[in-house]
Amino acid sequence: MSEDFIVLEDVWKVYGGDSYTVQAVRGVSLRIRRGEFVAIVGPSGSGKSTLMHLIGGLDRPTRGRIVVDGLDITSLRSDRELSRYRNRTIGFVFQMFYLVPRLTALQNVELPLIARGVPKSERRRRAAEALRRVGLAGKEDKFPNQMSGGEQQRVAIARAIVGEPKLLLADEPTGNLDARTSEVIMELFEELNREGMTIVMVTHNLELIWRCHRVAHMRDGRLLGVYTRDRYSELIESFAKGLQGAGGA
Amino acid sequence: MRPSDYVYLAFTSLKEKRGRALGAVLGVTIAVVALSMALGVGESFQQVFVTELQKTLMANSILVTPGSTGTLTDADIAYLKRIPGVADVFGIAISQGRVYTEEGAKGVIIVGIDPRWLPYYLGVSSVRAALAAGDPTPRGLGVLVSYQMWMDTKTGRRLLDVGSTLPVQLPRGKSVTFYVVGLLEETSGFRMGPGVENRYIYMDPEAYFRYIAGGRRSYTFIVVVVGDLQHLDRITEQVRAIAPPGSRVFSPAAMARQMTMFVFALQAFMAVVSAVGMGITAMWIFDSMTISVVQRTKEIGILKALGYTSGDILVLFLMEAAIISAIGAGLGVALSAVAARIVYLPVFSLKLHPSFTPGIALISAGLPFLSDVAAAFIPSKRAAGLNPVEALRYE
Repeated sequence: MSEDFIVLEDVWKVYGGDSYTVQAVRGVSLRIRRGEFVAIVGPSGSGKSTLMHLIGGLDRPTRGRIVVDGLDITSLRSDRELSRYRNRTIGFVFQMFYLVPRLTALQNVELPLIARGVPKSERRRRAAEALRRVGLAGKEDKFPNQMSGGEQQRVAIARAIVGEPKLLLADEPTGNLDARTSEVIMELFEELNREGMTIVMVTHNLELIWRCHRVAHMRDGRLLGVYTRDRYSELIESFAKGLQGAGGA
Repeated sequence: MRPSDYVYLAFTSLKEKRGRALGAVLGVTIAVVALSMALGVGESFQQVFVTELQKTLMANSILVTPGSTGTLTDADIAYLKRIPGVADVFGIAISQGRVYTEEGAKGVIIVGIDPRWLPYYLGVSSVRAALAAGDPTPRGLGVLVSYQMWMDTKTGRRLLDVGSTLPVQLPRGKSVTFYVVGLLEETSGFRMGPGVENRYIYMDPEAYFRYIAGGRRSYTFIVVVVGDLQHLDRITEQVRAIAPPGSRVFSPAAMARQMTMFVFALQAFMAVVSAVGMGITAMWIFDSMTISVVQRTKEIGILKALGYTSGDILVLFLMEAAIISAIGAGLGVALSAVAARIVYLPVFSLKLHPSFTPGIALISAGLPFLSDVAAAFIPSKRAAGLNPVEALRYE
């Protein structure tokens, strides 16, 4: 874990026009090493998801530079280049799972491979393998509405990893799941990370940060700091004690 | 992406909204059939009716038939010849008779016509050109017989030959025995009408009046040959003025014109049905696609997040319209091919089946297909242009 895998240099994202502007991300600079598991935390509207979208090439920064795996994605101008980057380098996991309801679990997992032009038999095999890996062997022909939330999220994870991306971007992956199912999902993430996948996870849930190597804290579009897991838990502990003290006084 | 995968994904979407898809397929089918019929009727009419008409005596003639009590005589012919612009006038006398064959009595038409005008009547350049055997000129009781008289068309057996005698039973108990001087091939000329078999005996008019009409010189109809068709209407009016009271005067060319107008009107109607069908289907597809893009906004965002290009999204949506149109066009072409065999317009003795050529199939399937894909283009383009983040956030 020595090489910089993601480099953000003074990244800004400003929405709006002449009459109003919203600075969703303000001058964020951040380096994430290959194989790291980083959580981006912060209150709602702090710019976490926007930052994730920028890293994932779903949106373009207004200013600044983003380099992922040596590729300056801010220099990618064509839709085709950005799409290829999303397909080959990134795996997305969203809070709402975002499965295509009319497709079975297997067909949903196949989708990134279809975009890549993988032949049918090959992608069927790989999709089934990805489902097996997330513990859903035997559920290939189930439709999303026939599965629990946890199962749907595991299908989404299978879809994210089926193309063997180098970076997994997860936006509140347990936000719609109960505690026990969240645990299963996080164990899956840990396992993927142990196998070398870099993971950036946006979350509100501070209980999840125990599984991450570092925590990036954002507020009002700014990156307030990047801490190791232990340092961040110390800060939270002292903050909590401070609150208790103030309450006791 | 592989082309087969566009089809695969488009199919999964169409399966989900199968009700709308089937409605659109039906619309395309109707449009294709209507367009095919419109084009087919026109082409068939052109080929079968107009072209045939050019070959017959009808093309540049005015026909005069007597009223219920009147007669047409040589005097009428002489009067009609005086009309300016008339190239010639001749009379044709027709009578019915019966011949007895192994299969029983059969009706025949005996035509008394000046041999000079026989090619005109038969729709051939010369009688010799239509002659299978024998002499081209009828004389006395020596007659020419049509193909159906001397050849059994079912078995291919020859029924008469040059020199054969041909007894014919005439109305009112009379009978006459002809002898065959010439055998005619099948010709495309004048026909008596639907239901009448083409068994004709062509004979010299003088002999006709003497042996068939009992000396009475009366014509069944008179043919006025017009020199210049541009003057057809004027000459027709003058013929009406001169012809004996109660006569019916009509020009086959004017009839053809009316027929052409009728067919054109029919074509126009079918074209309108087709255009309406195409328009409704195109609007349906536009509407369906627009709704689909809105309903599937999030899905578009997902696909983009997974690495689908805007071009992929565009083709995916266009493919849905293309599949609907292709199925509808295929069904329409198949139905049109069947309809072309079954459906017909009765035009005199002709059964006018709509033509169904590869060209007609291509146009009638291609136009609705293109209009549908064009209708799907705007919503598809909108889908392709969606920002992935906004699409994912869409509720």
